[in-house]
Amino acid sequence: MKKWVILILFLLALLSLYAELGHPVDAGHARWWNRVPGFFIFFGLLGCILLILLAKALGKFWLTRDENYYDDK
Amino acid sequence: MINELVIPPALVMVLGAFLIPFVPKKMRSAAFMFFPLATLLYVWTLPVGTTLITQVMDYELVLCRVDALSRIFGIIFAFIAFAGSLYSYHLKKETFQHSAALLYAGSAIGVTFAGDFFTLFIYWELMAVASTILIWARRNKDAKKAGFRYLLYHVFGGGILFMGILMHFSETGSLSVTPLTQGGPLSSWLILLGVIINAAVPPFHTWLADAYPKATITGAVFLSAFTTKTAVYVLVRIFPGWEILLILGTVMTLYGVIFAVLSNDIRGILAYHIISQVGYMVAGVGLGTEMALNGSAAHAFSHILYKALLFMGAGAVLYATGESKLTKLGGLHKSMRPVLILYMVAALSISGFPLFNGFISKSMVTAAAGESHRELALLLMLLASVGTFLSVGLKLPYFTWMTEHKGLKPKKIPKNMIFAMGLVAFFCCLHGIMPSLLYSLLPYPVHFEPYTIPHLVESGQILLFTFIGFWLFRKKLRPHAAITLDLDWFFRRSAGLFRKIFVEGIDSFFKWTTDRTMALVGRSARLAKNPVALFSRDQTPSTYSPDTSRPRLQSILIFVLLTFIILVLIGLFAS
Repeated sequence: MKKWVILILFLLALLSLYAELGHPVDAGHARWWNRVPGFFIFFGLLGCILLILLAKALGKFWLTRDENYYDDK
Repeated sequence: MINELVIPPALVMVLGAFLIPFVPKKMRSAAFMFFPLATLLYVWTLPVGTTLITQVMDYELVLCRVDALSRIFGIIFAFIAFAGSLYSYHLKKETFQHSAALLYAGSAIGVTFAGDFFTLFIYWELMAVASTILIWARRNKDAKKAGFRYLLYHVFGGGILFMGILMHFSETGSLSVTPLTQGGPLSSWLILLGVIINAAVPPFHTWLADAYPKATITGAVFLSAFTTKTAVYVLVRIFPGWEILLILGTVMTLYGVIFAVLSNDIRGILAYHIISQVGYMVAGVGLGTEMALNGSAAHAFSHILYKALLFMGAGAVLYATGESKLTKLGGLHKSMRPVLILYMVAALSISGFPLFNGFISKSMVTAAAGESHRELALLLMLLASVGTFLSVGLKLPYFTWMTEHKGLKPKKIPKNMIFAMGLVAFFCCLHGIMPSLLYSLLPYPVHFEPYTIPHLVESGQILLFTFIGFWLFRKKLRPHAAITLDLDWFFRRSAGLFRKIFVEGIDSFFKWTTDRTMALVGRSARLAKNPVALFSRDQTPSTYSPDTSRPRLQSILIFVLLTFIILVLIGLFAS
C-alpha cells in the first residue's frame, strides 16, 4: 500500500476518534460499547480478521471440495 | 377513499408476457421494456386505498389492494423490471426468456397487491415456474440440473403454503391477507414455513445459492429482485413481531457472509449476500416495531437496486470474458473501467457507505434493534456488515479487476447494459444523498435521521478498519478452484441412494414379483394340461396322454391285485 494511502487512512481514523469524543451518543441511545472510545475500530478490524479466519478454517477442515465433487458421483 | 380499479397492475406485465411472441421481431426488445414501464407509471399513479374486488362462486377475491406497503414494493418491482429489460435490450432472439421475465415480474407485482390468499398463491406459483425458465434458459447441463432442484424446492414450498392457506381458511373462514397472531395454530406456522422457503432462510436457502449463479446473465438480474423480496413483503404483511424471525434473520446475515468468503464464483458471492441482506429485512420483521418494519421495507427497496446493479456488473464481466470464477479473472480494470465504477457504486451501497442507499436503509433496522434493546442481534448484524464490505466491496472487485492479468481479452459490452447499470446506480446515489425520497414511500411515519455524527463515526470506523483487515489478510482470501459444501449436500449426495432405494429398488422388486408371478402362472398352466406331471420327476409330455400314463397305472393295479390275491390266499389257508 502506498504511503499516502496509509496517511489518509490514519488521518481518517484520527478524525473519527475526534468526532466520537466530541459528539458522544446521547444517554437515551447509548449502549455499553459507546463508553469504549474507538470501539468500532477494534470491532471492524477484529471482526474482519475473525470472519476471514473462521470462514477459511471451515473451508479447509470441512466444507471445501473439488469442483467436480457432485458430478463424479 | 376507496377507488375501484378495472385492471390489476400485475396484469399489464402478465399480458405482456403472452403478447411478446406476437410482436414483430425487431420490436420485441422495445416491447419488453414497454410493459414494465407502463406498469411503473400505472403503479406510481395508484392512490392508496384503491381496490379491485371480484366474486368467484362464493368467494370474494381481492385482486388488488393498494396501501403504502404494497405500493412501495410495487414501485420498486416495476422499476427494476424496467431496468432489467433495458439491460436485456440487446437480446433480440430471446423471446421465451423475455416472456418468462415479464411473467415473473408481473407475478411478483400480483403477490404484492393481492388482498386474499388465493390470488396470492396463484401468483406465487406463477413466479416459481417463470423464474425456473430464467435458469434453464442458460441451456447447459449445470443450469438444467440446478433449475430442476430450484423448481422442486419451490413446488415443495408452495405445497406447504397452500396446505397452510387451506387450514387457515377452514379455521377462520377468511382468505384475507392480514397479520397472523404470533404462535398461532399450525396453519400459521405452515404459511410461515412456505414463505420463509422463498425468503431463503437457512436451512431452506440452498436453492438460491445453487441456482442464481447458474442462471442467464440477464435472468440473474431479475432473479435477484423478486422471489426473496416478495417473501419479505409477505412477512412484513403477515408476520410482524414474530420473535423467531429476529433469530432467523440475524443468523441469515452471518450465514451468507461466511459462505461468500469461501465462494470462488462472483455470482455465487452475490447470491450468498442476498441471503445475508435479506436477513436484515427478516430480522426487522421479527422486531416488529414501526421503525423496524419501515427499515425492512426501505432495505428491501435499496437492496433490489444495488443487488440488481451488482448482478449487472458481474453479468457484464461474464458477458465480456465468458468467465465468472475469481481464479480465472483478474486485471480487468483497464479494459472494463465503466463496469468497475458502476459495480463499486453498488458495492459501496451494500456495504453501507455514507451517501449510498444501503447506509440510509440498513441502519434503520440496526437502529430499531438498538431501540428494542436487542444488543446481541445488533452487534451480530454489524459484524455481518463487516463481512459484506469484505466480500462484495473488497474481495470480489480486488480479484476480478485488480491483481495479476490472466490474459483474458474482454469483448465489448452492449451500451444498453451500461445504460441500465447507470440508471440503477443513479438511484443508489440519489437515495443515499436524499433519504427523504425513499422515506416518503414507507408504510409508517419516519422518525429517523441517518446522518448523525455517532452513526457516521460508527460506520466510518467499521468500514475503514475492515479495509485494513482485508489488506493485511488479503493473501488468505486468494480464491481456489473449489466448491463449498452447503446443506444441499444432504439431498444432492443422497440422491443416488434415494434413487437406488425408491426408484431402482422398487423397480427391481416389481420386476422380481412380475417374473415370479408369470413363472407360477406358466407352471400352473402346464400342470392344468397334465396334472400327472405333479407326481413325476421324469420328463413328461406337457399334455396329458392316457397312453403315456398307463404303464404306471398298470403297475399300481398289478400291485393292488397281487396284494389282494395274497390277502385272499392267507385268508383261505388260515381258515
